[in-house]
Parts: sequence; structure tokens; C-alpha cells
Amino acid sequence: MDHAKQKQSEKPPPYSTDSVNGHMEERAPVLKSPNRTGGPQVVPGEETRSHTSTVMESWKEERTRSIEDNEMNLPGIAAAYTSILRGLGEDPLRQGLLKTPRRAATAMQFFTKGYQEKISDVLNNAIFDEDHDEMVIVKDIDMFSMCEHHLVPFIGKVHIGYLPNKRVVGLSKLARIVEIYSRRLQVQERLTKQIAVAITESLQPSGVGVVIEASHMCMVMRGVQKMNSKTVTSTMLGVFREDPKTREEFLKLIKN
Amino acid sequence: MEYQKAAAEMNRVCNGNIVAEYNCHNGFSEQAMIESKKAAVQNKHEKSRKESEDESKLPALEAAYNTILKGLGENTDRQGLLLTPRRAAKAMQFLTKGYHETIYDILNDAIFDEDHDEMVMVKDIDMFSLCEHHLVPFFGKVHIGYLPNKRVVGLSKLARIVEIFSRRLQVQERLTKQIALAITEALNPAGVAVVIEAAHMCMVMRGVQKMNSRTITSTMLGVFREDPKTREEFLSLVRS
Repeated sequence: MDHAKQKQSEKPPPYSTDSVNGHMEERAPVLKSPNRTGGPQVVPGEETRSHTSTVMESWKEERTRSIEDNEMNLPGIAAAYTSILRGLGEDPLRQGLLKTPRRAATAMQFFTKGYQEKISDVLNNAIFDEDHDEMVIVKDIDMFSMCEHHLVPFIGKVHIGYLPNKRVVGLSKLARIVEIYSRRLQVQERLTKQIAVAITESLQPSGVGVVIEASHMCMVMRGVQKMNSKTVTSTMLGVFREDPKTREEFLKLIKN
Repeated sequence: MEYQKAAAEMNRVCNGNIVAEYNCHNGFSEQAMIESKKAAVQNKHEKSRKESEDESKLPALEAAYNTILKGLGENTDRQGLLLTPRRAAKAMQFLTKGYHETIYDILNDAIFDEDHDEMVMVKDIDMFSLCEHHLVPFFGKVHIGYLPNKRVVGLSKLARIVEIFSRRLQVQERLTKQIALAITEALNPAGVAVVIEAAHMCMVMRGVQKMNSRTITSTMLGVFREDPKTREEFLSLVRS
């Protein structure tokens, strides 16, 4: 809690003005519906830029929670679960439910363990200089996240592609980036963007494409109750946004 | 407090006590029928939670969810989380709405006298429930078959029975048995079979993290237990 508040009141660190292949421009239209017919977006005026920076800075706030925080907070969360069980009309003292508050609290901490990790910890060692400039794709990465609106899971697959610019990253690190961002209270749109921006920032590739297709339990198990619906979101940065052919190659390769 | 005890009773119906009774000749022991009749009496008259009480319970649930969010290190004032405690509380109440309902509310009208004695199956009923150990969803499909004995039930009522028992804090074994017992109680058929295959998020999203594993449980009562050919007919129709 303190961590989070501190980071938000800090001045947002300036992002790199390294506008490699239109990455800076690509960030600005976060607030508008992106125009995908190719060509970089016109950079909007200063006001929008600073508004954008507040929106975008949230991904940089790598809030870290520690193992000690977890242990300290566990009893409080477990007590909250006990009162939830009572509020639902269940008897928290029956055999099946005796240890449930503790198990549920630990499970919830596991589902939000993305807050304990930082991108820099995961990536620092595994970036290599390779003279490779063809597309690299890691697809069908299983993703499990929690909807921040209902605290109900949403599950799906992530497909990541990037065009390296002299630097490649260890393949499992892409999956680890997915893990860090998905094990949080999330919104699918933000998750997609966070993954793409993290790869961009750490590798400076020519372009990054991320596609997530997921099924939201909040829509399947309750509410409108549509069993087979899937939500698909994508983020295209760099040449993936500018060049329709590159985008098409990526989209074709991730299709089954 | 009464309703809490009743919930405990209903959920205990299929625990160790009853399972031991089913070693007998025709699949329905005297003891089991007495036990399930007891449960039925409770089912008839008591709901563990009244729908009208849901509204009044909401603030306490909201406060609990607020504590949880803070305990996880989140900032509860950010835009996405402002109304989350309320939404999560309502979602949880919806996911446990099976406690509102009793079998006899939904079944009493739709039992018909038909001279039909061939198997009736309703399969691929989507089921969503909450694991009572981790409060994490598990979901899958339920397949129900029964051999009527002069009385048939409206087909959607089988799906409604599944809904009532699955929208609770459950254990898959108990869920299967409760569904089978409820149908037995209501219809007195020659036999009932229930098969559930489900994926447990507590195993997929955490813990051992096996993505493709499925848990299958089944309950066979009456001729489905006694007669292997009947059971086989049911199982091959489920598989097909």
C-alpha cells in the first residue's frame, strides 16, 4: 500500500526520447482509437502528451511486494475470507471450510504474485547480441489472470512476435514477462499493452506485436453467461503497426 | 444461524456417513433412503440463505473485499478498483446462489406420469462451481441419465438441479452425489447415473499447474449400479 502510494506521487521518470521506428509516436495515440491503415500517427500536442504520460506511466510503476509483506498480510486477508464465508450463509466451522480462509488467501496472493516481481530482475541476463532481423514469434503462451472488476479469473493464450534489431531475448523470458503482468488484477487491454511496452523498452526492437485471446469467467459464469465467447486484444508497435505486410505475416503465423 | 446449520446439513448429506450405506442389493439401501429423506425434509422447508437477505449482507462482504485488496498491496483508490469490492461481493453472491433454492421449488410442477421405461439422458450440461477449499472456480460438463419408473421429469429441470447444487461452495464428489440423490428423491426412478468431468482452476492456475488435467467423478444408483449392461449403455452414450 505504501509502496503504491509512494510511486504514484513521484514525478514520472521521463521516457527515453529514443524514438526508434516511431515508438514515441506510437505511444501518443493511446487515448484515441489507433489508426491502423499504416503510417505513424501524428504526434498530438503537449497537453495530450502529458495526459498520455500519466496513463502510460502506470506500467512503469513496478510495485514490488515482498515475501515478508505477504506473510504479514496473510492473517488479515484470511480473516476477510472468513467473514465472506459467513456473509454467504456458509458455516466456516464445518470440516471442508476450516482451513479455507487461509488457503484462499494464499491462493489470492499467488494469483497476484506479479506484484512481487520486476521486469529488470527477470530480463537482465538474457539479452543477447545476434545479427538476426527476421520475425521471432512465441505463441500459445497460457495466461491466467484476475479480472480487476470482479476478482474472477480470465484465462487464455498470448502470442508474441517481435522483429529484433541486433538484440534478441531468451525465449522463456517472453513467457516470464507474460507471467509478471498477468499475475495481477488486470484488464485485458492493459495487460496486452504492458507486455508490448515492456518488450519494447527492454530490447528496442524494430517492432513488437502481442495478441491475447481469452475467455472471461466474469462473462461465462455470471452476468450475461455466454459460454463460448472469447475476447481478443492486440497491440502492434513499430513496424508491426506501420507495415501491413509485417503485421499480416505475424497474424498468419499465429493462426492455427 | 439456523440457516447456517441447514447449509452445513445439506452439504454434509453426501459425506462419509451416507457413502457407507450403499453396499446392498438393489443400489438403494434402506438406510440411505432414510438419510436422504431426512435431507429432503430439510430441503423442503429450509434454505440456507434467503434471497431477501442478500442486500443486507452486501456491506459486510464489500468491507471484506476491501481488506483483501489492501492486503494484496493494491491501491483501492485507483479508477479500476473503486467499485470492485461491490462487484466482487455481488459476483460471489451470484456464484453461491444455489443456497437460495431448494429442489422442491423448482421440481414440484414438472413431474409427469409417463409409461416410459427406457433410459433418458441429458448430457453436456455446462456446470460452473466454486471449489470450497480455495474459493477458485471449477467448471465442466455434467451428464445425467435415469431409468424412469412411471414418472418422468421435465428435461430442463435436470439442468436446474445441476444449477442449484453447483452454485455453491462444493467438492466435485459431493456435487455428483447430491445431484444423483436429488433426482432419486424426487422421481423414485429405477436408477440414476451422473457423470461430471471438470477442470479445476485451483490445479490449473496455481499449485501443481497442470493445464490439461480433468477430474471425472460419477455416481451410479439403482440399476445403473447393479446391472453392468445398463451402466455400459449409459457410458457409451455419454462418450459418443
